[in-house]
Amino acid sequence: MSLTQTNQQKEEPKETPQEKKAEHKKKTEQKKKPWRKILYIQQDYPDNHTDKSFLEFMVLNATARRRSFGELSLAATSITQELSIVLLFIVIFFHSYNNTLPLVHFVVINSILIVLGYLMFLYFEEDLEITFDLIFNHLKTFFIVFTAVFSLSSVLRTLTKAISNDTIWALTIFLFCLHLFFQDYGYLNGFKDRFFAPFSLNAAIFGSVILASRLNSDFYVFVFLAFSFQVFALSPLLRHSIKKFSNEFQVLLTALLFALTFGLIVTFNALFAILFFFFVAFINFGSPLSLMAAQKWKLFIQGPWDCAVVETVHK
Amino acid sequence: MKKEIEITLEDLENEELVQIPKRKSILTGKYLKKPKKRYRIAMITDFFYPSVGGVETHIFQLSQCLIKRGHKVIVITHQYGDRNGIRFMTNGLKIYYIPKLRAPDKSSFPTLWNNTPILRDIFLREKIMIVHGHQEISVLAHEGVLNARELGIKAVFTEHSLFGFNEIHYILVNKGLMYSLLDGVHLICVSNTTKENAVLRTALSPYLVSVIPNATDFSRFTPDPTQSDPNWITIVSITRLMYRKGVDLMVDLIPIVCKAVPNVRFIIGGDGPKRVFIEMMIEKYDLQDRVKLLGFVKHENVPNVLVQGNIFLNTSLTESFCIAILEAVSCGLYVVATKVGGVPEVLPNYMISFAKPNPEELAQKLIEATEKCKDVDPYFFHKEVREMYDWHDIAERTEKVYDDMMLQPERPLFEKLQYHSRGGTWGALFNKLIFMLRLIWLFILEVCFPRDQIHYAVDFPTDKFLKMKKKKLNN
Repeated sequence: MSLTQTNQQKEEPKETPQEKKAEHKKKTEQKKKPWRKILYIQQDYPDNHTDKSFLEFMVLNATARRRSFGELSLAATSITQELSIVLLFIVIFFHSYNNTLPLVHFVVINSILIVLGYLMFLYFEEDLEITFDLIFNHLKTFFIVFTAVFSLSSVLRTLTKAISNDTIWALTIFLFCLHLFFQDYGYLNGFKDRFFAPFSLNAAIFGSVILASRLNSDFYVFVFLAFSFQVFALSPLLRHSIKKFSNEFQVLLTALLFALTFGLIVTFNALFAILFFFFVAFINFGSPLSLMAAQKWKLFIQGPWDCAVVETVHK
Repeated sequence: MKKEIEITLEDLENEELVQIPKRKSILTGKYLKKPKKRYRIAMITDFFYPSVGGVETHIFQLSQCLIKRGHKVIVITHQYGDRNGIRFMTNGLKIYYIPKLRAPDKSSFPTLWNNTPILRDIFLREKIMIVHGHQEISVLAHEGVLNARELGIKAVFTEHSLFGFNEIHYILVNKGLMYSLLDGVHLICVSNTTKENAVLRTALSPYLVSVIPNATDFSRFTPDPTQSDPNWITIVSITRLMYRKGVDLMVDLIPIVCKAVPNVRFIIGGDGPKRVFIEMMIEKYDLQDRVKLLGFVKHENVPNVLVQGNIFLNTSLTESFCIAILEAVSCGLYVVATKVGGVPEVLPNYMISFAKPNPEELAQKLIEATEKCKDVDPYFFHKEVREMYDWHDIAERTEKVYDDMMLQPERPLFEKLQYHSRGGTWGALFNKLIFMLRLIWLFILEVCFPRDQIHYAVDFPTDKFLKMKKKKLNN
């Protein structure tokens, strides 16, 4: 009896529309499916839905790194050195031009510096096998260059006879500015291992040649050009090995050069010396500070929208 | 009545063929529901007929679907040679070819003042309610959207491509788009990756960006198993042969695949600067009978080339949506593509397999695909993809965007000026200055060519025309 009753109850259809609706809702009520990042099915979300996985594969500043003040200042010392050297060179020229340079002292100091510098280079440089062959090659190159300069010095003295002084000064300033701009500071800072700045070297030598042509005697020209070769061609090698060897020596060398140049410029023109001082302060300390202030704006965005990079590109 | 199958995420991860619930609109055929309100829409872009491409087809198809839903659509584009003035296309689609200096690469030169008179005239005489700009690099679209916002007309912008951030031309282009979208313009992107990219580039709120995919004309791309040679497994690739399309990857992977699978052959359609490298590769590895270069393939012939293949290869390095793979699947091909941009979102697992953009992995996936493609039923693929992407569905979703736009209130001028506060102190001042100057120019135009003296254009009688067409078809 009870069985048939329950059967009948089960087969009894729902009558009111509210009851029908409630049952339908119960059957089809399901939790909203999570949003998927696909386009081929219709999802239960509006078109402008922004999921919490939005931008989840975005990578910010993956390759950028924050630099410290000390690191930047140290790297800027090579620029200060270069600037000091160029100004030192020009001051020496002016002393030679005005015949106030004590020639013998100058030659002696230069020779000592060359020998000392070479020894320091041999000591500081890593990965250098000090064999007789190496030193012999170095000395051979050295003598060839110096002999060439010696023989050409009389020719070079009269090179720019027809050109006025003002042109020479203007050209020199321009050339040494080029030299400063295009110098291989990466090498001077020890970041690279090969000195490759032909443009700056050419500009410096060109500048020194036309300056030398203003001098009075052949021997002056020879000494001056030998000095320029020493400063522009040989000293980068030494400065590179010093920087790589020890940071303290680098700072010491920079300070010495700066002091020397400052002292010599003061004998000429106090205003220029003060300008030099502030300019060096700006380059060595002011620029690192401004770079550090700008670092917070660095925003390098990477993500799945980037163009893929192919390793082997056919050209 | 189709049953909706309860699918879990785990099921979808499997490689087996699983029936995925498709768009209700396409299944039930209810997408021809009457729209809430009839809008008057102007599509504005540099890229339209007679030039042929993805964006052009998109605009044309979208316009046709909107016309069939009862809206009035016009298209504004720049003149192509002798082709200027007003022309009509299918179903009364009116096209304005306005005089504008063309720039290389199909776009035009940007101007501030020159096009305002003519665009204002067009918008007013056609009583345009919504201006819809297409494609980021189209300057005319930007100008149209800017002018529309100044006149108080609602604007929508569709973004079809991905852009980077690092180089100067990307920075300029991004700033241009940011400026155009300042005044409450809704952005439509073709894929979720494009949406992320666009939000980062333009600093828009992501709720103002909708994702509406593309589609293609699937009736032209039907499978034809008789065309493919049963002795070979044919891999087809139709693409412009340039760096961005990953031709370098193709050159490296073809020898690997040809060596590994003896009965595989390649058909490469398309032309470009990197074609010579493929020819060099064919010479070097002696693959003259395994690789066929077709040169430039006309748009009409693309289906004929696709049906000859079993697998479609796409090695693009960047792709926002990639319609090519939809066309390939519609012809019944299995797809192997690089996992870049918006491609992972387009097709389900059983139709496509992804690889990182390096030749070894692509070659590996291709070799695996030569096994998988034997089980593929081309007609099933065609039916499936047809139910995934449909122009009428896209038109309905675009219409929803229009509905939302029309509900936005029009802000007073002072508030609009504050939208231009982006770009830092000086940038903001400059933007505001330009905005004020443009408004003064509009005011001058209003004085010289008053609104109430503009003759309204006569509408094309679309309803009657469509009814007549239907009658003729039935007879």
